[in-house]
Amino acid sequence: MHPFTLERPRDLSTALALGAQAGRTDATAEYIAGGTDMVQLLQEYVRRPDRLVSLSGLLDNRIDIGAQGLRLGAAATMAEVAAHTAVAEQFPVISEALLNSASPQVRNQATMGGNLLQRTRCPYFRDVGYSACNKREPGSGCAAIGGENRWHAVLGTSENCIAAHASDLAVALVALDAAIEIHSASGQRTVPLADLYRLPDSTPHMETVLEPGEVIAAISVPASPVARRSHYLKVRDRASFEFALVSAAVALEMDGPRIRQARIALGGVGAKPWRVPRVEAALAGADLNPSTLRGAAALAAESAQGRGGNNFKVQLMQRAIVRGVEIAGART
Amino acid sequence: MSTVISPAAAQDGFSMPAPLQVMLRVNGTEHRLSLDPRTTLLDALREHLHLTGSKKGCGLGQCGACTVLLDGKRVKSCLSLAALVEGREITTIEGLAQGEELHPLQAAFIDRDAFQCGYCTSGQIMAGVACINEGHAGSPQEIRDWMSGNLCRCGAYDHIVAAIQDAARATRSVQRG
Amino acid sequence: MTTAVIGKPTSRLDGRKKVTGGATYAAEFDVPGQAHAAIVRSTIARGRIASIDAESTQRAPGVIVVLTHRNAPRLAYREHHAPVDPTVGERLHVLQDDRIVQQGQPIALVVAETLVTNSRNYLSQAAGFMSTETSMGWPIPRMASTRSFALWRGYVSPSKSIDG
Repeated sequence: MHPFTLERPRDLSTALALGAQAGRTDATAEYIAGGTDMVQLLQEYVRRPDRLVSLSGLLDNRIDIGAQGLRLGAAATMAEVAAHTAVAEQFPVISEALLNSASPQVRNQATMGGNLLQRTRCPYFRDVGYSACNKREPGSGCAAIGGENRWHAVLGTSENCIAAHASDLAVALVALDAAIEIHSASGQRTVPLADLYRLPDSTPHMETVLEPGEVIAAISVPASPVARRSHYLKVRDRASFEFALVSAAVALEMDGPRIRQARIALGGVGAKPWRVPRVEAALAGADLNPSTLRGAAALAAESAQGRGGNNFKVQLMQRAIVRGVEIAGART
Repeated sequence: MSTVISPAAAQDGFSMPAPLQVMLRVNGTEHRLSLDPRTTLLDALREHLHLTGSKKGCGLGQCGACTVLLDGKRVKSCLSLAALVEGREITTIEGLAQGEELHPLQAAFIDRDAFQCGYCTSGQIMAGVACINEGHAGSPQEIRDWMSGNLCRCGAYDHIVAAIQDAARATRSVQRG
Repeated sequence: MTTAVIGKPTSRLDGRKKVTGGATYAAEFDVPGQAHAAIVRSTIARGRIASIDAESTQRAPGVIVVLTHRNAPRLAYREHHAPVDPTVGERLHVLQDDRIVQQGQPIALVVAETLVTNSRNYLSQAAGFMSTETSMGWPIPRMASTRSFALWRGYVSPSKSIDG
């Protein structure tokens, strides 16, 4: 690892004042919580901050469910949230997304906030032997375009970067209209999770809207009739400990045999977790007839752009939507 | 075309970051260490405390050979910075047996021949102990799913699952009886 | 007599050591006078080493020597093509010349003393601090394939097929 100073502040205001910045691959100071992504990136020299600021013990780790919905402290671990009975009952898509992520050991260390901020698994990004990576070295090009891009995104990409966002939790939360509470030395702000992430455009090295000295303190998921009848479908090469090729978070409110409203987000295919409002609109009032579902799912592919190795994702994501809706719809 | 290979080559001068004073509580004993901040828990255990039972298979959190217990929960020590687990209860493979008496899972690994080269074994056992304590050892399929963080290149998986089942059964009968 | 154990369930001799973390593997010996080494690896897949500046590394406290193709002992490599070997390619000749033939190929070895200097990070930093310049060639596709096989450190998908 590149040498760094490790700060272990005793309180949050000190940590915030140290001004580290998540989500920028050129930041010289970064926050570290569970460390399960950060330590990998440090070991491989992908990230070379001069300073790490530990958030250990400084953030809320409570899991609260009430009439307004669910609030997850950013320091709650993936394992704690996944094992929470009320979350599994009332927001199953979240539990399922977590249980289908990583491994038991990683889930014991990894935090809610850190999971949302994990970096892409793009192999060119993660291997400094490849010089062309605009996310790691702005202006150097994108080796994935014209290279091996089976794992990469078909939505939200640019000619500068086609990396897919890797978090399953983020996909489930985006489907449920989650928001994040951001704390800084100057106060707090709340941002819809979907707006946390920036599209690559011409600046793939800037992944989030977080400013220096800002941390995610909590995640809130509003109560909604769709949350209880939800499902996370993850399609991947291995049955466990593997990232998504394509995933779909589906949440439905049913009115007898018909869908009253649907919320759907896709993973593995977007530069960020991808809501599909046109599919949702087409499903409002629809029944669970497979051809109806297929017709609606096709709307997700409209702006999709395969890059050669990932062309199959355009079809697969439509089928994942259909299967996800069928499974959620069959839930009682 | 010229390429500078070394990642740290742009640095002027050759300086080490100031060492941190870190207290690690391992298998019930406190150790005061002076550590480079970059030292992972795994490297602290192996190279500073000479507890080489935990193994480095990949160094990236993918193989599980480095699994230890942190406050009773299984974690990958290669992904933890030692300075950030100060004061927590760390249990390694060396801390599992009670003197001469092996933990039931260690004995089961021998009885079921659940290893060949043995390099993944420490991590498998630590993860297996946690898997049983978590209540995730109810069936072979459940065990396979909940042990997915531990790889075995020799392919001893079937026997590992059997050993965990044996130990889980023994644990359950102790709890009942 | 060996027939006394055939058919009997016999525990392995190394069983207890392996399940208690007591078995010692290659990197786990720590004997008096033992040195430790860190490998500097090429990050490019093909080319030539133009220069290695190991001076500041040599001067770092506890470093005994930095071995490169310039000062490493000559080893008795010969061209080697047994019937089982592929028809193209050659064994890696470690630290014998300035050719780089694979990403991750060892191009230098930093050898240091124990105790303070045996910290892996120290050695890795000493190794990483050396600046090396190379000229990059084009990687030759593997075998007769027109697609080169990309090996990603730390992330290899088992579903990736190897052409050729």
